[in-house]
Amino acid sequence: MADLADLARDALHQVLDPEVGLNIVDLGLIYDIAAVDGVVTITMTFTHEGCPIGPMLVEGARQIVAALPGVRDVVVELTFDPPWTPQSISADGRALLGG
Amino acid sequence: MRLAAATILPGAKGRLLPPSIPFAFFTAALVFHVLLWVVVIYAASDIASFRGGLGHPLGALHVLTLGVLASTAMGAALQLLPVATRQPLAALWPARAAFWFFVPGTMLLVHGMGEGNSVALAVGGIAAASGLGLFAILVADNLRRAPELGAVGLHAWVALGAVAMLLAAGLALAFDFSAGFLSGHAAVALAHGLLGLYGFMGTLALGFSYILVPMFALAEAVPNRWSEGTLALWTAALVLAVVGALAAFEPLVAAAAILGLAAALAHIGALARVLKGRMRRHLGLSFILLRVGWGALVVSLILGGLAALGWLGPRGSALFGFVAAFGWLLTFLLGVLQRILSFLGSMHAAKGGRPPLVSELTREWALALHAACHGTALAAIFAGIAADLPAAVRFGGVVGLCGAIAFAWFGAVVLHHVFRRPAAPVPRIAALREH
Repeated sequence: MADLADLARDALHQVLDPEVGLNIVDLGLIYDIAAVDGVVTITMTFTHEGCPIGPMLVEGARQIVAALPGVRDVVVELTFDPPWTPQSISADGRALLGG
Repeated sequence: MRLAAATILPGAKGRLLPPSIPFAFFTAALVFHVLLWVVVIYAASDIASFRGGLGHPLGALHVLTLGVLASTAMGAALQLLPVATRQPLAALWPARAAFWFFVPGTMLLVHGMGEGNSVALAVGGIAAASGLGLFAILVADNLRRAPELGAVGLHAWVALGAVAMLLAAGLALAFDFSAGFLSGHAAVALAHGLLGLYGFMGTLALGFSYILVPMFALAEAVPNRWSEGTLALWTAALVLAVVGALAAFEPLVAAAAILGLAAALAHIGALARVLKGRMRRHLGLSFILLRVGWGALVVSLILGGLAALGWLGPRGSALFGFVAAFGWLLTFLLGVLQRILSFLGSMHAAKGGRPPLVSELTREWALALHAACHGTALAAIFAGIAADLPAAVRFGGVVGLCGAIAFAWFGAVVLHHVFRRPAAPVPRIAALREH
């Protein structure tokens, strides 16, 4: 049976950055996912600290993970250390962006 | 630094304004953009020979600077700044009041300029200045509560300083048309123009670029030290230019243009390096407009320096003003506006569900038509002013109008998505706590 953190990571592929059209996992915004006793903690970042879309992405991540079976609560931790860089984008993401 | 959100981002409800506020400013800008080209067509025969003073060319200039540029800047700053600073606006009513003072005031002011109506000039000037002043106070209060904003915050402070001075100069000029108390009306007018174009709008354009360009292109940010150094150079140039203008000492204005040119090249060079390392290959039409705008910024400073020395002949100042206001600021702003309208539209259209992609809100054909028309209009009007050909200016106005209508159509599509359903609950976000 898949680990809850893995299920959460899969689910987060459905959260798209509307400006870029790429999901937040391939965009490299998800730094870590941990699941303990049904509480999923997502550590994530934004491409820039002042990113106006950021709050919407956090809410999208929380909603989609909260809907997974076995999830009691979702905690989203936001960090800018280390800061996001273009190198954080996955190979799949780069291919989608035409890179 | 690690921040946590129990339910998700803190205070976002307070930071994401109701769409009616930013989109009211954006809608006004789209309407003024159409009106701008109508006034250009109407005043074509005077624009080619414009040397300052009351009349429709001055009205057209203010439809652009106040109606299009400042309206957009106000809507964008009120929406984006609280997100960047993580501080909500102190209150929403001043933002709404700013709109209702500023937009009707601008219309009245432009009417007063076009018709030489001193009452409309005074009342419109006071109303527009009140709206801009309210906006400046709101932004200053928000910036004051976020001292860690870095280079972007410093740009905003410089722009606000310029706003304070340009409002004082603008009101003095408006009343001077009837009272005649200024000993050097032309010198104050030049200083007012420089503060508006390079001080307020120009500095905001530079500052916002450091957030928006890397964000749109998926690239690393410009190092703070570089953008702060560029700003210092830019501000020094601005101060020199304003002092030179007020003292009617042309060599100082020319020296300021050279200093400004160095700052502009440093700014553009930094952003070019950012774009070189971007992950997003296809940047689209908006970046064509941004690049044209950056080119026009450089040209405007060269023309400004030459015009100050009197080397461009009688039409030098009109050419300089046109390239700075239309070539640089309007082109740059339209490039940015087509991106921020879409993504702010996406944010507000989400209404708690999956947000529409920006690409779903974009109408490529309308933006392509606009870009083609805008470029043609710029070339025709530049030629018309340079060669004193009103017919070329009028042709440019007609083509520009077609482009503005296409751009307005794109804006209407975004507005339709934002307002087609009842306002949705904004994501509830618990207070951020630092770990």
